[in-house]
Amino acid sequence: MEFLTVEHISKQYGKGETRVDALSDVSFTLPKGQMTAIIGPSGSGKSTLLHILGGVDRPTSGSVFLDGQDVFKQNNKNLAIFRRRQVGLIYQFYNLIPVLDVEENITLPVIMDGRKPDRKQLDHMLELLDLANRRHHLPSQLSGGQQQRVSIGRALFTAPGIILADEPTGNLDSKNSAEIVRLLRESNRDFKQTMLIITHDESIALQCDRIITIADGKITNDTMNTAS
Amino acid sequence: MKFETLLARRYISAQKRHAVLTVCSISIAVALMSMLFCLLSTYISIKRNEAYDDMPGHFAFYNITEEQAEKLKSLPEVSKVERTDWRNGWTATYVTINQYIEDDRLYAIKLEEAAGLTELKDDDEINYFFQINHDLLAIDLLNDNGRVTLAFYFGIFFILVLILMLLLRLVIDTAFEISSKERERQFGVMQSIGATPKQIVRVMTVEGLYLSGIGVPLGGALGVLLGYITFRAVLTTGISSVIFDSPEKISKYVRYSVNPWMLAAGMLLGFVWVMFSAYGTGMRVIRKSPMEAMTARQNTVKKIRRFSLSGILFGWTGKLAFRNTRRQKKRFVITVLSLTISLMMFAIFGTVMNRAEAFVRSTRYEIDMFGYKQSDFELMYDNLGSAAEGEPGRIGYLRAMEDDGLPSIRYIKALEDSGFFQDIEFNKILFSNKMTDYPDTLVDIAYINRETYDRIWKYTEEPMSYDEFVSYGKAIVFHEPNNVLKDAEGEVTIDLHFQTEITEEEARIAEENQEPFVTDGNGTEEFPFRYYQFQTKTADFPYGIRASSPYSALLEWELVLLYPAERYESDLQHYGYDKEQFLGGSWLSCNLKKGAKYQDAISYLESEPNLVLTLDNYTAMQNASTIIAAVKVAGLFITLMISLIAIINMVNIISTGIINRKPELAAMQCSGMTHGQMYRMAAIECLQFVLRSAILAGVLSCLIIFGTEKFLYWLIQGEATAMYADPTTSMMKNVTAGLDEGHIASYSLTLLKIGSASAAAFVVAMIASLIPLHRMQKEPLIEQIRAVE
Repeated sequence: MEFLTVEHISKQYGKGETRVDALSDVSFTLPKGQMTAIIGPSGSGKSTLLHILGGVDRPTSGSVFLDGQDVFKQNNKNLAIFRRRQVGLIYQFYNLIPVLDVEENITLPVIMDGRKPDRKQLDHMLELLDLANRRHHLPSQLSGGQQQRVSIGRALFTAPGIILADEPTGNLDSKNSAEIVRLLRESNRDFKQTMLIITHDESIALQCDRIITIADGKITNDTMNTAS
Repeated sequence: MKFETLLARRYISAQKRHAVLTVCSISIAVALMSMLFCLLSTYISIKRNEAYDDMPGHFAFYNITEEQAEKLKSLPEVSKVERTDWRNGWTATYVTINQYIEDDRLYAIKLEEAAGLTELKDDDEINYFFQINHDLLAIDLLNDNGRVTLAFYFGIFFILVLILMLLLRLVIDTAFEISSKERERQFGVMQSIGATPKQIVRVMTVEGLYLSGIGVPLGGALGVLLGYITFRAVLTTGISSVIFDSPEKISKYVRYSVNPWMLAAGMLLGFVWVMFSAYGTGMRVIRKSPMEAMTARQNTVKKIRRFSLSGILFGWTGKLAFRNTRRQKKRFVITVLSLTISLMMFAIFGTVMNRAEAFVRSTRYEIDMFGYKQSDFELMYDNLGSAAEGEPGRIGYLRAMEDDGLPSIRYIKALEDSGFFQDIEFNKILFSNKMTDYPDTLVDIAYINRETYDRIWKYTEEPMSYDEFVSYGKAIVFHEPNNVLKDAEGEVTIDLHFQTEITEEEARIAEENQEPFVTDGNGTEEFPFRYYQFQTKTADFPYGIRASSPYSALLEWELVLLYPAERYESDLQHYGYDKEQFLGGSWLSCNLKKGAKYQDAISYLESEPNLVLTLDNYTAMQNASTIIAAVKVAGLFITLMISLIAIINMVNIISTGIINRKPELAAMQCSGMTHGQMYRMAAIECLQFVLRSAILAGVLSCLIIFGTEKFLYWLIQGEATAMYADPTTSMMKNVTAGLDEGHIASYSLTLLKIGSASAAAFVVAMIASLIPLHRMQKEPLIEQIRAVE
C-alpha cells in the first residue's frame, strides 16, 4: 500500500534567462513506514522536493498524494491544517519559537489545532527525547542537539503520517548526530511512520530502508538498502 | 577612513529601502524640532512687535528739548535717539539701546543725568516725564527682568523640546537599529577578517553623516513649512485682532518669522541626535564578539513571563502575542509611554480647553452684594453726555455719572425697546447709612427690579413672587446682623447719610472749625472746585419678612433691606433722595439679546448720549474665547506632533517585529498555523500596545484631573476668597456654576476621547502589521524559512 505518491513533479524558479529548473518530472512512491534517505549534491533540488512534499511549497506542475489525498487540491487554510496534522518537519536550524519553552514548542501544532495536549504523551515524549528535566527551558537555554531534539519532538507529537527532515544533523556534532538518527530510527520503528530524510551524511543514509539520489532536479538513482 | 566611507556608501545604495526609512525618520525628527524653533522665533517676533507698537523704543522722554535729547547719545549703550511729535504739542524722544543694562529704572535715571534733566532746581517746574518699555527690554534681553521672563518662556519650551527629543531618539534609533540588525553577521565577518571595533562604529557614524546630509536639510525645510501651517491655523482663530487693534498693524506685525539662528539650532539639535543614534547603534553592534555576531540567531529570548491576561483571554495566540511584544522590553515600554503621553495630551488638553471655553462663556459674572451676575454689559447714566470721552476715574467722568437713579430706571424701557438687550438689571443702593438705635450697624437700602430679584433667588426658593413683592409694601430683610431688628415686622429707624453742597466760604469756615468736608473738581472752568458737608437725617423704613439667599454670606455687617424698583420713584419723593446727594449709586446691566448683533448693540449705545458703557464683558469674553481657541489650535498641533512620533514608534516596533520574526512566523506556518491565526496573533500584539497605553492614559488622566481639581478647590477655599465664598454652603457650587459637572474636566469625555484615539491608534497599528504580513504572504513559505539560513 503506497502511502505517498509523487507524480511528475516539476518546479521552476524565475523566468526567461534566469529560469532555474529545481525539479524536473520527479515521480516515486513511498509505502507506509518506510524510512528513505534523499542524497545529492548541493543545489540538486533535495530541499525543494522535501518542501513540496510537506505542503510548504507548491510545485509548478505535477501532483502529490498523501494517504490517497491530493495535497495541492486544498486551499491555503486546509493546507495549513494538513501540515499541522499530517506532516512533521525537521530543519537543520531547528526553527523553534524563541518565546516558547520546550513543552510549548513540542505541543504547538496540537495547541494550534485547538486541542489540549495529552499530558502522558508529552511526558513520554520528553523522556524519549531526554528532555524531561528541561521542559521549561527556552530554546536559547538549550544546546544545538537539545534544540534539534525539541524540533523532532514537535514533528512527532501529532503522530503525523510522514516525517520530513531536512539535514537534521547538519548543524550537530557526531555524538549528537548519532543520537538524533537513533531517535528517528526508533520513532520509525515504534510508530510506523513514513520518513524522508535529506542528508549529506552517508552513514545516516545507510541506516535508511531506501536511498534516492537526486542530481539536477532529477532522480538519478533509487535503491533499496538491504543492509539497514 | 576610506574603508568606512566606502562601506557606508555601499550599504546605503544596497539597502535603499532602509536608507529611505532612515532619511524619513531623520527628516521627521528634525522637522518637528525645527518647527518648534520656528514657532518660538515667530512668537518672540510678534511679542517684540507688540511691545514696539506700544512704544517704539526702550525708553521715551516726553517734552525734553532737542539739546537734551542730543545729550542722551553720549551714553555708550544708546544706539538710536529719535524725536517725534506726541500729544498736546509735546515731543517724544525714543531711546533705543543695544547693551545689557541690568536695572532699567536705574538706567533711566542715568539717562536723565546724561540729558541734564536732574540739574533742575527744586523750584523749577518739572514738565517732562519718561516711560520705560519693560516688555521690549525683556524681549531684547537687555534688562534683568527680561532674562527671568525669557528663562520662563524657554523653560517651558525646552521641557517640550526635551520630551520631543526623548521620543524622537527612539524614532531615529529604531531606523538605525533595523539597518544594523540585518548586517550584524556581516559586521561579525568584518571583525573576523581584521576590522577593529572602532572601524565598525565609524561605518555606522559615517552612514549617519551621509543620511543626515539629506535628512537634516529636508527636515529643516519641512519644519519651516509645518511651522507655517501651524501659524496660519492659529491665526484663523482671530487671535491677531486680540493682540493688535487695527488691520494695518496686524498685516505689519503678525508675520511668520523664521530666525535663521533658531532654525539652525533646531536642525543642529536634530543632527546631533542622529549622530548619537548612529554612534549608539555602532556601539551596540560591537558589544558582540565576532563569533557571536556571525552565528547570531535573530530574536534570541532569554526570559519570558509565563502568566498573561492576554493568554487567558485569547488562548495560545494571546500568549504568543504577549511574549512577542515583550521581546524588546525597553522599546515596548518607551512606545507604550509615548503612546500614553500622546493619548493623555490629546484627551486632557482637548477636554480642558473645551471646558475652559464653556467656563469663559458661562462665567461672565461680576460680583455684587447680591452675588454673581452674568452680564455682557455694564451701563451707567451719563448726565453730561460726555463720560465716554473722559477717562474712568477722572473728575469729568465721575461728575457725568452723578445720577439720582431715576434716569437709569427710565432707561430700562429704552434698552428693552431697542431690541438689542435682555436680562436688564437695575440696582439702586444707598449705603453708609446707620441704624439709629444701633449706630454700629450699617444699613444698605436697595431697590431692585425683577431681573435682580430672580438672580438673588436663582438657586433657592424665593420668599414671594416679584409681583407680590411689588405690592408687599415692606422691605424684605435680606441680611440682618446680630438680630438687630427686634420685631417680626415694623419700621426701622435709620440715619440716612447724605451730603450737601456748601460754598467755598462755608468750606473755609468749616476748615477753620476743623469740621469735616470734602471737595472735588480741579479749579478749571470746566470742572470748578465743589465743596460738600456730610449730614444725616432720620427716617423710618417699613420691613417685613427675613429672606436670605446663599449670597447673603457675602455680607458681613450690613443690614440690607430690599425694595422693588417700582417703589423707587415714590420713595424718591418721600425720603427726598432727589434733593440731597445720598451716598450710593445706580447701575444697569444687561446681556446681548439672543440673535442680536454685537456691533448693532454697540452702535445703539454709542448713539445714546446719556448712556455710557462702563464694562464690556462680551468683548472680554470673546477675546478670552479667541485666546483659548488659539491655544487649542497650537496645542492640537503639538499633540499631533507627539502623536505622530508615538505612531511612528509604534509602527516601527510592530512592523520591524514582524519583519525580524519572518522565519519564525514561517516555521509556525510550516507547523500548521493558518493565516487567520497569524492575523489574530498580530491583532492581539497591536492590542497589547494600544490597550496598555489606553488604560495607563485613562488612569493617569483621571488622576491628573482629580489632583488638579483638588488643588484648585484648595486654592478657591483659601483665605483670599473666603470673604466671597463660604465653602460650607452651596456658595461653592455657585462659584463653580460654569462647571456643570463640578469638575475642571469631564472624566467621561476624557475617557471617551482616549477611547476614540486608542481605536484610531489600533487601526494604524493593524495596518502597520498587516502590510508586512501581507507582503510576507506573497513570498513562498520556503523562502521565508530560508531567511534564517
